Amino acid sequence: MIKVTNLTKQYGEFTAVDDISFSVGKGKILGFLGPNGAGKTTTMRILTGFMPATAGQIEIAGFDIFRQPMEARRHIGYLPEHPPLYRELTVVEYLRLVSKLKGLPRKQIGERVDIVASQCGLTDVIDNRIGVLSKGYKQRVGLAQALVNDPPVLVLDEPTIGLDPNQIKEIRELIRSLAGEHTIILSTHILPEVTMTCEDVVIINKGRVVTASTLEELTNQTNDQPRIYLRLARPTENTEKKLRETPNVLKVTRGVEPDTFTVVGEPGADPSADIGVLVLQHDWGLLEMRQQRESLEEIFVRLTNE
Amino acid sequence: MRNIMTIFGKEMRLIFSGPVAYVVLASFLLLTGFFFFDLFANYSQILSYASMYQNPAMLEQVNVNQMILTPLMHNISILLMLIVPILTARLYAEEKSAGTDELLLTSPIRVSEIISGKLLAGLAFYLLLLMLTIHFPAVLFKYANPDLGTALSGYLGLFLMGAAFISFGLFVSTLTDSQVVAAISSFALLLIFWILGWLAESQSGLVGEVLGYLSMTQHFEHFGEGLISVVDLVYYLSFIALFWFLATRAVESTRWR
Repeated sequence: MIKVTNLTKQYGEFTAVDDISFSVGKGKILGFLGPNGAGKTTTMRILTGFMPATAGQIEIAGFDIFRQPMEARRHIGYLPEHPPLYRELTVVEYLRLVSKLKGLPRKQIGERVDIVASQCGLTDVIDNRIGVLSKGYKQRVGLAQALVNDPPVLVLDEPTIGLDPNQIKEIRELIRSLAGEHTIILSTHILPEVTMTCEDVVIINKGRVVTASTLEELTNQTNDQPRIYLRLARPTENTEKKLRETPNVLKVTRGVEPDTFTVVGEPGADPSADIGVLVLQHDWGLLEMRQQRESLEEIFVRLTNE
Repeated sequence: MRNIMTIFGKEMRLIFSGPVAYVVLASFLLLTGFFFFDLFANYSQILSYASMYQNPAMLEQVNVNQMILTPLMHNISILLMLIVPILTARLYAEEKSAGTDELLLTSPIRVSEIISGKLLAGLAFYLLLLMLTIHFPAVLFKYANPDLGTALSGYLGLFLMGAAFISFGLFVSTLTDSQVVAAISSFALLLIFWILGWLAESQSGLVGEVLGYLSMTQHFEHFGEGLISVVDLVYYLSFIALFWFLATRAVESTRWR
């Protein structure tokens, strides 16, 4: 549904996006991650036809965004980083305006505006001027605007920013419910959001793709290397050394609390059993021992700092 | 066409939702009202002198067209140079500063349609502004005997010149995201077009002629005197079209940077 091939964007000498490629299948939600300044917003702006690329191709619902911009744009709903709102208009006036801009047939406008207003929880403020709404409501109006013509492709740049925890939950549920019918790209740096809403993940850093895979693959990938978390009642000075000498152990790090250790093993070989024996032999007092998965945060930090 | 009307409708709604439009209308009417009163008072004073002295040569010169109508149009034209930049400054700069250009430029609508809708909205507001001055000549027609042709050609000239200002102001507004910068620079640049007329008078030969053609003033003076010429029409229409075109190019080019 969305296909990005060798996309590059240069601002003068500076390369904001460097030869990135990825694609999103119909009905999927892709999480687009990266630290600030990685090129997320630039990529989204090019994807929606707001800016042209220096090189590369983008296909939206089978239309090339550069060669067939009008057809491609008709298939996209876009929530930019800053919601594009007219403060002087009321919510309903604004949503009607956007429907017209998107070329929605006149007869459907009223109905679609009602639908998205209730989807995004705007029914109560529908006659209020946008300028007086709170940040959370403004964000929802921005989302409603992207949905109003029911486009098959949604590009959402940080959709839950500025919302309170309840609203975040609602919006995430809304986004999840839109998948299937819609193909969604969602940029964010809130990592739990990705875990909760997305199936596929692309992480970019300094304009380059560092990883592109499904969320499951990404979190399992690193689990070849077993990580064991250990908390002991009576560790001694040579505990760390003894642990390191255990077969199949690659790395041992002492935690922030002095009685905790993280043991990383050889890929595919779990040293847990040997560690258990070791702890008992030396009477270190086992309080806790568990397998640890590398969290998305850790993966993100590792990949974007390399 | 539907897209142009959508943009037009949006602009009209936004123009009248802020205080700027009303302040512009009120100050414009206040000032033109003062000009009219001043010219009228002056005229009637001279008229009463002329009839007091029973001087037919003097009476001959007291002409309601030349003493009220033409100078009134001239004063309005100067006022426009100050007022139009304030009106046009927000047309595109506001979209940029509010980020709403991102909505417009990712919607399935052409840049030329966006610019046309905005230009039409500017013209519609301006037409309203001009219509509100129509009672001044109406008063003259009631109590004196001015020339209808001069009045009509004067209004045509005012409309065309204002339209040229609006097209120019819209172009300047696409270059910046600050309304203040847009207003000041379009005022300064329009003033230069005006001053070209003075320069033209001091230059002889081809240079003088070219400068004279480019100057806003000289073309407008003809309309004010009741003279409609093809040269002047072509001048204003091509001026409007040129800056409409440059505005669309400017919007498209900012995306390429």
